[in-house]
Amino acid sequence: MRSPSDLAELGDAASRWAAVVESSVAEALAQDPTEHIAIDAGNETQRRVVDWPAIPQRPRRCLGRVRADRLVGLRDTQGDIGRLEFQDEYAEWRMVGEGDRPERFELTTELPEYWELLTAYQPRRALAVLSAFARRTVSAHEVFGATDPELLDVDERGRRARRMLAPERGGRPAGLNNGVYAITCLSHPTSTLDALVRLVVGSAVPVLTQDRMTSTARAATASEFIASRSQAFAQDCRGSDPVVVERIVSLACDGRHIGVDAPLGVYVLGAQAHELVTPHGDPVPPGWFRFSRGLRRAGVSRYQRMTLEVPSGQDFTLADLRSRRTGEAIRHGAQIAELVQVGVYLRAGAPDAVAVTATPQKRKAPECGTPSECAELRSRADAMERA
Amino acid sequence: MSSSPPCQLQDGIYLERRDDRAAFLLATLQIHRGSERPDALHAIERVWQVLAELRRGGVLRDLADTRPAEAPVTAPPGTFDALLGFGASFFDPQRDLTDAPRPSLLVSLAGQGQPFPQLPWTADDLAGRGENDLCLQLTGRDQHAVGRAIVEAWKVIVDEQLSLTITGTFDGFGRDDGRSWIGFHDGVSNIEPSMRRAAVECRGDPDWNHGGTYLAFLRCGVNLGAWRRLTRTEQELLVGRDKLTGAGLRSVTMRDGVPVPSAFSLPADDAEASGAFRDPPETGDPIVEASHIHRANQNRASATTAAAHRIYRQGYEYLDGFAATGPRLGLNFVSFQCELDHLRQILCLPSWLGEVNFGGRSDRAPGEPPPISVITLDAAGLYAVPPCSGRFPGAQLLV
Repeated sequence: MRSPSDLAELGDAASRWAAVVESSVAEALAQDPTEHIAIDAGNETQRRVVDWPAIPQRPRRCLGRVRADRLVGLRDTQGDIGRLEFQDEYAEWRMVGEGDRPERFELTTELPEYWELLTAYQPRRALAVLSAFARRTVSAHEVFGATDPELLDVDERGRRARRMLAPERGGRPAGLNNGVYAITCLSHPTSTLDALVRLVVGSAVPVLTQDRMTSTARAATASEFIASRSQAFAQDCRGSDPVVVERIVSLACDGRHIGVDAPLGVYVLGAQAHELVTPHGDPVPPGWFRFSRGLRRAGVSRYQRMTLEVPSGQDFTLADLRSRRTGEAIRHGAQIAELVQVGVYLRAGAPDAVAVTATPQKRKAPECGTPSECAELRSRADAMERA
Repeated sequence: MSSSPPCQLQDGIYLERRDDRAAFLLATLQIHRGSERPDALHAIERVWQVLAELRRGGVLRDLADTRPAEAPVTAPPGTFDALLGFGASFFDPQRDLTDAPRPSLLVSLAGQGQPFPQLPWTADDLAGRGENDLCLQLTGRDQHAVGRAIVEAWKVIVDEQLSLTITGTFDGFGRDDGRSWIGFHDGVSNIEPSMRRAAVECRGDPDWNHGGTYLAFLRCGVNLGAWRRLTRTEQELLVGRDKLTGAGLRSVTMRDGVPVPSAFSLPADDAEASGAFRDPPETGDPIVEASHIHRANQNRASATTAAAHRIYRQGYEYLDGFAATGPRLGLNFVSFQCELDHLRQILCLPSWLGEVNFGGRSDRAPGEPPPISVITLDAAGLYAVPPCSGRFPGAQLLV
């Protein structure tokens, strides 16, 4: 399995990444056996893109836009809090600037498992990339607690990197991933390689439901499918999980083989420059959005990082831009994140390649945005505000 | 299994097909500057009352019985539906018409250039046309039914010196062949009826619109002359359908540098009624996937899935006379959605309709249709459409 975006920086450790992915797939298949998955689907299949906005859906729906936008980007002296709590769409961002005058927006979709390998096996390269992220020279001591990372063994470097990048549940990312100094990779506990693979594999099950108006059988919606599964593999009412689930369930109901369009990763597909307006009334030039940690080839974007800032020489900054869709000045990262589209590439084989033994779904799917759906999220928001 | 809560959506949103609502009229109304809230409340309520009476078969305003032994003239009942919407300017704090803040995405589309990346105004001075404090959507049996309704509304405004002015009207009609001016089937890839309410009905922020919806009105002028200069194949590649049968395209093969589309087969019976037109299957063919019907529904998910960006479209064609260059015609694109964000995403996302005016690939290969610009905005407006309640929908906003 190739590195995300085919980045060639892992060197000899590339095979380690392949092993990590293969292990993740094997584990997911053990939990959710299915004949529909061919994870390295080849040339006989066609590419499918599934996309969603980087902005988390549930906070806005449950808390209202104003409160949600403030909380999802909340930060204290030790770093990002809102990001860890609410930025759960396989995309995380930070705003750089003083107070309510943001100057730069940075977003990443890089998987923490990849960064753990990079830092452990290619510490010099990791330091160079981190320095670029932080826009200053990052010392080995900041990342490894040692002046020469080569003196630590690989496992120890991995352990120290893990502490910084994506802590265990309940912890917070630190150092170069805490949002104060930089943002490096995904840190939300459900935005991991394992979660992504589980999402794809767990959805590859044909489930039919009867349409209540036409009485005809159709592929289950994401809400119906998630409600029908006994194991938690996806979170309903998000932007990301349901749209991936529903697309894959639909392909499975066609009897198709489904795989990931290699290299596996979550990618930044594009941004809506037109939706931001300068103080002079002009749309923001698309070139102000800078994409990195990947490439675009043959019309397919595989970037994993995006920054937006007003170039030097202009008489205004990011805080002076206005959102066309709300008419409001830019104050929160959420106002930019809603303009960024991220997604995954799948591969789908021909229909009727796999005998479909569809399971009927009869359980009523819960609705999004109801008081019961939002109760837990509101409780977390209340606790965050009290703190 | 618990049942859904009762539907509070206003009349005029047809979650199920209504063949007796072929006529459309959208009127924009301005509440007089400096009006106090009670005056505005009374004005809207009176207009709403008159329309409600008319719908029940009430007496026409100038044809009441004024002499002994006469019978008044009444309108036939049930010939039209009325829907009331509130525009962004209604929420302007300086107007002090309401304490409710403007819903964030309910904005004016005028100013700051063209409102959507690939959808410009037909002329710069048309920006703002289609917007005002309020809108009334009237849908009826025929043009007479909706025209009579808006004129009756005007009469009560004048007679009772209400604090309202009708500032504009936009009419339209449904076609009985299910096609649009460009000759292709239209509106048939709309979401299936069982999913429409989920696409339309607001659930969260703000509370006062819970059970209501948002209306987007885009009066889209079509450059039919430019469209007709395309070959049938080019048109089909841009739309994504076979022009005559309406069947979705399955694939495109290049023969001697010329694209040759092939379409899915349709069932022999009434294909439209059976839903065969709806959401043609995704094909994996990059040319087909870049067509209009696929760009407008990239994720192929249901209305309950947020990132599907599903909206319910209820459009009406129009013909607005002739210019020297040809007919002025187009589509009154009307959509209802639980969040205006969905329409924004469809029209602004680069891989959806954000990088082309209608369809096709921006980085096209030789033989593919040119990235033609055929649609412009003659008028446009966004409105909140509160649920049915009390004196008129949204009355609580003015209290």
